[in-house]
Amino acid sequence: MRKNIWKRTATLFLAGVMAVISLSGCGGASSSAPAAAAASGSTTSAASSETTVPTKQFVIGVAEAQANDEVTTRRAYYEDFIAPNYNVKFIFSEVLKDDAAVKTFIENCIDSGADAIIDFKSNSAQMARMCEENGVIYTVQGIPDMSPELEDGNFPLHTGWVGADNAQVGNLFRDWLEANASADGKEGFLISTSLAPQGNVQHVQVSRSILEGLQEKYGLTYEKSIEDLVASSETTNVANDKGILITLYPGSPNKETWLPGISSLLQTGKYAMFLSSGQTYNQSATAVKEVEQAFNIDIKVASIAAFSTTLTTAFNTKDANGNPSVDMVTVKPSSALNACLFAVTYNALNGAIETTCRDADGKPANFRFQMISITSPEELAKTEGWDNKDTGTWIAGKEFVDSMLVTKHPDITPEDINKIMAGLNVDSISAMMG
Amino acid sequence: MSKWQNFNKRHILLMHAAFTIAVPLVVWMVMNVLDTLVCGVSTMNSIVDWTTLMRNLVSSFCFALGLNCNLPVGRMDTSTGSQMYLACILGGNIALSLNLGGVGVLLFSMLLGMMAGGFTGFLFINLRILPMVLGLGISLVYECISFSMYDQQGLNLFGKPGVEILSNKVFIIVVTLLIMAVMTYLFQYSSFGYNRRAIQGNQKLANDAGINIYRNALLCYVAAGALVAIAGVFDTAYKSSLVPVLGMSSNSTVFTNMFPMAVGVWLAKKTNPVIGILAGSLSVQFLVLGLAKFTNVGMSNYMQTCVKYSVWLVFMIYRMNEDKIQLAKDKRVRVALAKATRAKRAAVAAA
Repeated sequence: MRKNIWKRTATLFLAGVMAVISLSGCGGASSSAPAAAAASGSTTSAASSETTVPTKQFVIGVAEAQANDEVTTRRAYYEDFIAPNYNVKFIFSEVLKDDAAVKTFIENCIDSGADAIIDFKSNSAQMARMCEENGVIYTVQGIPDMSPELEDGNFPLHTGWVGADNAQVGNLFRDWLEANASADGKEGFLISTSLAPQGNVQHVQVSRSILEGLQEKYGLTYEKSIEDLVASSETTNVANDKGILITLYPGSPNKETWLPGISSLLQTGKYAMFLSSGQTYNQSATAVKEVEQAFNIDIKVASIAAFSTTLTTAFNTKDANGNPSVDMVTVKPSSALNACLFAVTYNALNGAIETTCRDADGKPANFRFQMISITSPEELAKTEGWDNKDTGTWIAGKEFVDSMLVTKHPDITPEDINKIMAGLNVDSISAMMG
Repeated sequence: MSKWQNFNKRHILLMHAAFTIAVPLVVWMVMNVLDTLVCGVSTMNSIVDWTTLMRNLVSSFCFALGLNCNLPVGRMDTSTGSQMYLACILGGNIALSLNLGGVGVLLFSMLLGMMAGGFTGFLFINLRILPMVLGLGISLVYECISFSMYDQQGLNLFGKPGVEILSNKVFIIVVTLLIMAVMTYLFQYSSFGYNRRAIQGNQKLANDAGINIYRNALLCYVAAGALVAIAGVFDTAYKSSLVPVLGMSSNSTVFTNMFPMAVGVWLAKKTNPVIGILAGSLSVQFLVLGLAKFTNVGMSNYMQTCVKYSVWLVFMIYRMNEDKIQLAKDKRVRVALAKATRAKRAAVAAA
């Protein structure tokens, strides 16, 4: 009898503890950023626009490839800002590892009555066909040259691609290299291509941009095409006509061999520049710092990033040489990219796919967004508060989103949307944010 | 009996100690020769490699030791990886929010690890579900909880005040020695350890003899939870962040650490299990660091992983056939002895 009472007490205690643990985890930022606050807190939001919410509700599935700051920000933007302002319901995936997982997610979305899919993982004709068969709009974050079947196929419900402007990203890296790399490039460049060989859209785009940036800076001719180099899953020394040491290092930072590999390469002392196509500056920070201290060298780090406390910490944490942990980051104006993806999808849902999502040849349009370069804590300070999910201050407020919607501007074209996106830079955003 | 066999018998402790040390030493020497010949650098090239080795060693050692709490007793707990994620993400973030630095992160994670492990153990002894099946279910639940916390950001130690201590070599050595002392006492000299060994021998007999096998199982789960949490903290200190995973991906951590545990259990035949697992982890870390040098000559991460697990496979094949090899060896000795005896008798008869 006593044993039973003890058992029950222990059961209740442990169940209580687990409930507290679970609930403490479920709380947090989403509750601190209520929808209404998000909408009104945005510098460019409802204050300057009409606040009528459309009566017809659309359901959009979002297929995610990773879980990081950028994804959290996107989720907050869509759930707290877009959903209440445009009467849209979002279904978010967990991290989708491969095309099979994306397919399952899309099937589940279709079963749940989704009207459209925004795909951050695959860039595939297979997904487009599945959407086509079920009358679902399909929008991709990426670039058309990565999926020729999708580009050349006949998919009337495929809206197009929203991807980074490669040339502009290449220019950001080139400008930074211009100012920071030596004239002869003798310091050596280590480039983490991350998951580019597995087809991760962002990693492919940025790896290509970095190689193009180096090509422009030093007038290089590579022996292999940039596409082939980026697709390599082996550690590759990029053969070029000037003999500059450029090493591509693929792999996921989550694999146990990734960091020792980076450390081993840096310990050769042949690399003074570490450029990353993924958001790895925080994961590699310890290895970089230890190599700098042990070999008394200065390794410059450039990476992709999202506005977050991690980025602020990185710029405010000094390495052994008194420099910030990261020397340059290119940041996606996350809400602007997501606003563009939403606007394109929303226009299609409102029956304007032919007028707002097709280029001059009648093919799905290619929308571009601009990345922002940050090279110092001072520059970072200028962007303070941008895309802040806690305060609901978004770069792409209601006025910005409305400017791309056919429901507000019936004559809008893909060129107009691209012009709006191309106009985004630190100065224009600063002006927009007041 | 030959002179060597005689020496072996008289200095059995010395021979066992030498064997335990020899395995990691041989791995290091082989990798060093390969690294020097192929990559032009030694395996332990600089102080950075030593720091990396120590940090990864304590992590791998603790995880393998955690697995060893349950596995020899017939409980394959596949939820230990998810316990690590849950404990580190929740415990670490609580400690950081209280500004407790690296030591706080370690202690809070341990505490949460004990609770997570204890809950799994509690379910096991009450529900009697197969440990592996229970582990899979618990993995999914713990992974989801740790994923839903803190905006799916997991634990980020990058740039946080006071966490540098987790990379401090003296601190790592102190923690390792403490763990070794506590676990050696628990496994070898405490009543918990005696009972565990009795259960390991025969669970039914142990139960009939009056040993509370359920309490022992619960304590094993609690100890395993604490150990994997320590492993997670040191791993996070190196990688700066611990990103939550879903879909039973945490199991990969379990299987990764099976290798050092298997080597450790094999070495434990000649020494105590704690030292055996430490030597096993050291051997595997030398292999991993040695292979990492091959990055310099273009070997990909995937190929390194492939080589590592191929070595494991070869090791397991050897382990599974060890008795057959011993049998063949004994047979050869017997045949030689028989031949020698016959020859001797024939010589006597001839004389």
